[in-house]
Amino acid sequence: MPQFLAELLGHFHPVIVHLPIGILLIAACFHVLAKTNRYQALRPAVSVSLLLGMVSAAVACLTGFLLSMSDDYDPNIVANHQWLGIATAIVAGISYVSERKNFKYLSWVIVLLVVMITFTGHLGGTLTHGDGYLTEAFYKYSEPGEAIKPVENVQQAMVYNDIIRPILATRCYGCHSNRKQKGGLRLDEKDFILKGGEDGVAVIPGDAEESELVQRIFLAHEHEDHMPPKAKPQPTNAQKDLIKWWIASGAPFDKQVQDLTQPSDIKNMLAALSKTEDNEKLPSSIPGIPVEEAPADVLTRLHKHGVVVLPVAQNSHYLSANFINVDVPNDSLMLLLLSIDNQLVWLKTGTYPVDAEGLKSISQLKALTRLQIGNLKNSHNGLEHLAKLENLQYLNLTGAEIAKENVSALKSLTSLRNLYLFGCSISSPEYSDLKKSLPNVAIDTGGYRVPTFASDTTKVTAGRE
Amino acid sequence: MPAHSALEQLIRKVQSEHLLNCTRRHFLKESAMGFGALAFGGLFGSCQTPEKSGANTVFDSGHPLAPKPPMFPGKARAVIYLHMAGAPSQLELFDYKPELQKLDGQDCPPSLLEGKRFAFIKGVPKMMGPQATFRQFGQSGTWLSDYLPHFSTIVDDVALIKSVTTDQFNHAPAQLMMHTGSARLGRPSIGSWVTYGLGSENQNLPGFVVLTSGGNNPDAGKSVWGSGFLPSVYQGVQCRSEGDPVLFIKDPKGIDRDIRRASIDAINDINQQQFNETQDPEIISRMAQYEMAFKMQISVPEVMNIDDEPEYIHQMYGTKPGKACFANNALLARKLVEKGVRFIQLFDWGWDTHGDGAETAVDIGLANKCRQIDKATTALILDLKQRGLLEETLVVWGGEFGRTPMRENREGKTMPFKGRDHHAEAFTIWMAGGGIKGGVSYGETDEIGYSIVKGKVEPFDVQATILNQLGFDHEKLLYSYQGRPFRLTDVGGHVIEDIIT
Repeated sequence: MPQFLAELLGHFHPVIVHLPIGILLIAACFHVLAKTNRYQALRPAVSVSLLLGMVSAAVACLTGFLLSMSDDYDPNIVANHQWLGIATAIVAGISYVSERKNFKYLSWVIVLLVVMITFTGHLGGTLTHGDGYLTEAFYKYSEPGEAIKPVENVQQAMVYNDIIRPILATRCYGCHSNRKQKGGLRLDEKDFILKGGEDGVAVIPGDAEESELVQRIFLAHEHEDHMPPKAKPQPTNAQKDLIKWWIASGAPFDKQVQDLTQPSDIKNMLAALSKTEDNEKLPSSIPGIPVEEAPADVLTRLHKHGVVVLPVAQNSHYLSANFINVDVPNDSLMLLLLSIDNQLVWLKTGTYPVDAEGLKSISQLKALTRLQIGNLKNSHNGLEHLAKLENLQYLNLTGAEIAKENVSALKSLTSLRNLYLFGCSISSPEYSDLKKSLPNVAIDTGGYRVPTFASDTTKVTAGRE
Repeated sequence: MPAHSALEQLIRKVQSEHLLNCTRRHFLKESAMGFGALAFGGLFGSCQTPEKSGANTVFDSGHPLAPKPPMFPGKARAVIYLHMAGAPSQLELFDYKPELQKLDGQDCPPSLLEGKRFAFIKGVPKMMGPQATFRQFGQSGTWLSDYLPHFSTIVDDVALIKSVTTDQFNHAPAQLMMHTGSARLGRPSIGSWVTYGLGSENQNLPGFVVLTSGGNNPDAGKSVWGSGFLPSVYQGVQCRSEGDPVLFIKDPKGIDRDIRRASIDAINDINQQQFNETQDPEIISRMAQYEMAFKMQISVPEVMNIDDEPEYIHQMYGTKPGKACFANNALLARKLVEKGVRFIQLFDWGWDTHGDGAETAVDIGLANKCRQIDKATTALILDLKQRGLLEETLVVWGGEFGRTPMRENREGKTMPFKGRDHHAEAFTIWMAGGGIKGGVSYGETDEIGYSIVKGKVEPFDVQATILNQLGFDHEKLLYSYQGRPFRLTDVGGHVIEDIIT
């Protein structure tokens, strides 16, 4: 049989195989129903369905056999599925004959038939979608995305095992490993990588430009030959460059990183691997644990006074408050805020005057991560209360003149990340003092100078030579 | 039996003929078509209304400018977009090409000209090396030209994107592409989408403000900050730093604020009745704009007044109070951010360095344009930084396309001054603040800066990144118009992950 015909017919197997599944299962249903009074009229339908099921099962076996020759599936699973499928067709035949001959144990034969259909069908699904397809949903949403573990001492790490292999595992093994071999290509072991697939060699050690693997991962995202396929997780630019570098260096499987020549950009990428991908990210200014919704009446009252209170995002109950529209100082406002102390994470008071009482109230907003206060004129000795805010990451006091005696209170805010003190009249020695007391805080007192160069006020009149 | 008149008989005959034509066959045929049509419609989900299909149409007709939360927490609270209209030459500013220097004066190879359309280049132009001197700056070792001496001090706060590409090689369509996501008129600008999605925290100021400098509006005109098909309440409000801050806001002589208040109330009462009858969202938009204009009469002159800024700030920016200039606009942008304005767009005109005169020569005019904006841009970044606002304000700087590595030869002749023609294939923009990494460079062009070899970025990607930093999934911020949901990024756009923290 010409190859193309074999392949064409073989590709109809996934279509045709649903016929015997459906017909035989409904034969089983008819058989059960026919035992009741109401549906006894279905009795003749059982043998007809079993006959049709047997015939379509035979056709399914044929097309399945053709498919197994022409496509790239795991030979083990294929063998199991094939023999089980053939056995199922035979049992379907036995069921038909038993039915015609009124065999006493027909019901058991049909039960056996249904069980075999289930197992055969499951193996067929595994062949198409891979292992664990049915239960995938349980894992997909509870675990974080596939991140590559950080490498401790990157220069002494093994290039293939510790750096390249994890990239291939998380981005390629899904279709190019022992489970599936799309294009006849496996990338999960040295021999397979070097062997290549249907279209030839994928990796030419020493020549990255000509290696199909490199060419394909660097193709434009929308190009139909681009690997990994559009909808799948993509390697980062750094990961692509590392693979290219590894192949260009001869695709060694047993060398350490330091044995290979490293251009400076590769060096940087390797250094970045020693931190986790998350290390670079600052901690989120919103707590990870959910919180209950704030009482609606408090929000309405705050709105009435002009305070803009909004959820930080559409699906979050955490709140941000902004005093930007508040014209008239109102002592009750700070107290109102206390009713939402579990939800309020971001607070901006703008130029609203905050006095010592206000600072005390603010210091009880235990969920605060970002706080801006622009007017401390009436506060005396209130700043050290802010140290109680354990979750505070960002404190912006720009423009708020801090009275001399309050400056030292800032020293207690050791868990901050960023402290902005521009326009707070902090003197030089006070600043040095603060820096010593707050070694982990980025303190910015501003006052940047942008000097006026001659070029800023003159014009160029002639070109250069 | 009563005699049937001829007329009655005729009528009866017509009726029975009609009945003969309605057989079971006809019924089956028509209902089959009907079911088929239903199935067909169901296939495309076109039966769904925007609400059911989950399109995130957030328009609240009652309060179009009410502040709203973003889809997910974004690092940026506001955006300042500095658009250099005319297209600054990336080869003289950011994209250092020593190879191009070696080809200076040589004929352009035919492979770069075949099949391409240029705005003015004709025949075979000559290559032109960079007309500026490049050096490395900052801890990141970023290459930068000497045209931007002040900017070189803040390279470590900025992410350069050297691989932006567009398919428009003329100003108006390219500007529309960058700002509205389509080279044709009619689509809303980024600022309109942002105010549509986020509203405005400060109820006394518009959420989207536009400031222009350089002597002209950008080629694409006011549509580049227009609201397109979004309700017109989301359009950009153009404020001026010379004369009346906003045109046509001041009350005419003899009308005082109370009378104005009373007339607006009366007008809006009538508008409300009209809305109750017709449900036209434009009416709400107009009512909101009357209210906003009334509030702006007080709030805008206040915020647009830069005189009460300390002298040190004026020095920093290099402002010219009373005159229209970029430095004034940059200072105003910072003030507007402080006041809670979401999207501030600055357009500076005059970067179209074709070389047809001294002011458009890359070695004269371009250098002077840089001198006009360098200090103020740097001052803006540093001023936002010292006020703790840079981490929540996304600043974007760029043009609408790039400039050719070839020297422009209009009509095939050598021009008296050195210039470059429009080049859509590759150009550079930069972003800073609002959760963007500092001191990084994304994307690469080839050795002469002609095409992109790594990290292609389209205008949709820039727009997607801006929306992402504000907390929006660009694929989900939608508005239903002409029967389908539209989004800023149309059918494209990927967030540029490599430059966000």
